[in-house]
Amino acid sequence: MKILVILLIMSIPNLLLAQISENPFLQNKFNPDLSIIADFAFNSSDIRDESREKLEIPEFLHHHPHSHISKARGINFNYLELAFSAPIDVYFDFTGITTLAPGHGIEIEEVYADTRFLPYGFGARTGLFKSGIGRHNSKHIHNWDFYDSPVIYDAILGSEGISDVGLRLTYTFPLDFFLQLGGEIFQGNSGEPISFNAKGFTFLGHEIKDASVPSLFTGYLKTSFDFGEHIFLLGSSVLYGHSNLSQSGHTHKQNEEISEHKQENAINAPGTIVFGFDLTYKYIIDAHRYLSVESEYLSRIIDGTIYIADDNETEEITDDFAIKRKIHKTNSGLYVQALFKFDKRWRTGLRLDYLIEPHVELDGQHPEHEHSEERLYKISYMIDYNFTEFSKIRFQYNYDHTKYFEERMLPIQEFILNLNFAVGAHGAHSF
Amino acid sequence: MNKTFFTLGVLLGIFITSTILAEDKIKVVVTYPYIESIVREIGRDVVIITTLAKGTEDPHFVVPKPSLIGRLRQADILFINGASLEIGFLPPLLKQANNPKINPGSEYFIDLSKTVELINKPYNVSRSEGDVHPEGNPHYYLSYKNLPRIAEGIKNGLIRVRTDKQEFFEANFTDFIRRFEEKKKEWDERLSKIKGCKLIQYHRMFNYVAMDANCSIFAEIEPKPGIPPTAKHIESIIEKSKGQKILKIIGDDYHEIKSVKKLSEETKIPYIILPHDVNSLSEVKDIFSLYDFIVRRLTE
Repeated sequence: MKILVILLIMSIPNLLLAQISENPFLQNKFNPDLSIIADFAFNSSDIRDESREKLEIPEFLHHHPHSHISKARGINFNYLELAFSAPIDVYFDFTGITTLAPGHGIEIEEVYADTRFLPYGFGARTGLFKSGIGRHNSKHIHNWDFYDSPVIYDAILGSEGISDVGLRLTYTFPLDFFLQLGGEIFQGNSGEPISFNAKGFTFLGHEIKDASVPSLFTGYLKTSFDFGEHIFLLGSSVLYGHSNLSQSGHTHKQNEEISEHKQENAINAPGTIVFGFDLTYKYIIDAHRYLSVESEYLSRIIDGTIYIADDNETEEITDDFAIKRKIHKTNSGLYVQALFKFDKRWRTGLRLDYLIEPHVELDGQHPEHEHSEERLYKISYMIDYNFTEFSKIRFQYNYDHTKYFEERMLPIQEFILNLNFAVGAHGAHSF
Repeated sequence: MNKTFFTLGVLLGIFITSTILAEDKIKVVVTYPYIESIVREIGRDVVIITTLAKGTEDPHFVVPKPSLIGRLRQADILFINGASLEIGFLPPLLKQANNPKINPGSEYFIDLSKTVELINKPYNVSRSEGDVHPEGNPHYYLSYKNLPRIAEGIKNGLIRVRTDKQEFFEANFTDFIRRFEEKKKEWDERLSKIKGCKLIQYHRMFNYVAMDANCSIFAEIEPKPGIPPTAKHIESIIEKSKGQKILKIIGDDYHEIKSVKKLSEETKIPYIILPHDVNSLSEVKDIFSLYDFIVRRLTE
């Protein structure tokens, strides 16, 4: 009898286990695909980290850009990315991408739904997503060919490009080559207000009002065709939106004494336009080798009002200590890169960034520049080794001749050793 | 403004002409040339075929050409190899194409790996095992014994698109199978001469060929699938193969052949280069010549 009871008690966990493993309500087959990416870098450069914060590109960029990749000296943990994707139902696909990064906390990079039912080559996406404009904009950091983003992106669209809440509609033409037309409507309050921002603020007593939202509109046309092993991809894009920008910088220096002082200004421009062209050429040599050339040109035109904080008593002062001027400003630049995949596991590449001298008019007059007018360019060399598709080590050298420190051109050299790992669901190879 | 209207007019023109020019044929998109060859046999002049990969490409790392999106956009049916061979390049192209007809899971998205039984299903699904495919070895089409089932899957797919052409497809299929059976006799006979042999291969690719020949794979030059060989690993194969009767070392058309030659020199085992797909070597023009070539090289 005792033995029977003991046997019965001993068999309880087994019975429970059997019940658990046969749980008819288990839904783990419905779990979304998960992929995890981790990125690290060892950096060395000839500029101190605290000085880096104060770097600027006159008339282009007046603050330290937000980025998930660190340029700080020493060993850096850049980010941990979690990407989820699964069909929602018969009608939609879901994608969600979050990053965890020291100093940035948890950020939602993208969360959107794509339609899977629209006929006639139409597709729609809604949620928070990277804009489809340009070539570099929609690439995820781990798919970048170089460690850092092109300078023209840092200066005009932000290091990680335009990513905002909105709606996209695309139409793919029924042709034997690729021709796609896309249009997007965004709220216009994307993370980093470099070119576009709808939110208002008060600047030295001047109230800059909120713009009506949604305030950012984009359109793009992309085409791709090939002749044998030669593949071409071309695109043109335009963005139109509202700019409420608050900047600090040293751009309109009046005299030597104020070089320590941070002169600030605010821009209110209702119709800022950014347009761009991109071209990618790829030559497939064989199963594991290719040569590619990629270039993208971006230009921004701001037309509006600028409020310049004044510290020069001789100028006409408004009640609010800010001078109000009409501003017309054009900023343009481009990057050209060449990549050579010379082995199954090795790639090497060279990139040239070039910023075209900005055109600025205040009340129809060209303001006086006292900073030296140097050519703004950056040269990057990289070589990477892919152990497999899931682990990569990259070395990059930058010679950056675009940054000013305390009103002087400061050429910067950077050496970067970057490690990237991916686990989980298989990512797609990028073109 | 006039320019804008002009551009819009041109786009509209392209749209209308392309719609009118679309013929009464089935637009088929396939991933690999061997599928194209079979679809051509069964669909003949009723199909227009676009093939995403080239025979000379590494099937795991096909370049996702954006130009192919336009073809996928118009496709009536898509045939894929399956077993995760296309995972790196097909999903982004499909997403861009916005063609609900050929999205995964839909009626005209046809995964041919479902028509056959896969071998080498990994016991341990982990990337520490190299480039493993959880579904099993994806190179199943290299076994000619699988061909009737693959062809049947293709035939059924084409009928699904055009039921009015059912008789035509059935007749072509019957004809194809008749020619196959004739060829099969020849291949079976040739392979029976090497029955029970041992083979060394570069990549885990010709296991299905070995199965057709009742042979076994003795070793692989890659230490794990997709991982390039090390000197140490080649040494261990040399050591292991001493005193063994090994028929051939098999290299293929897209991996390096240096290690194959080295191993062959050291072990005195002859090596051969086998095609992994139609159009990978100039002599391999269609599905029959693919098997002809493989059987001939193995038994020579």
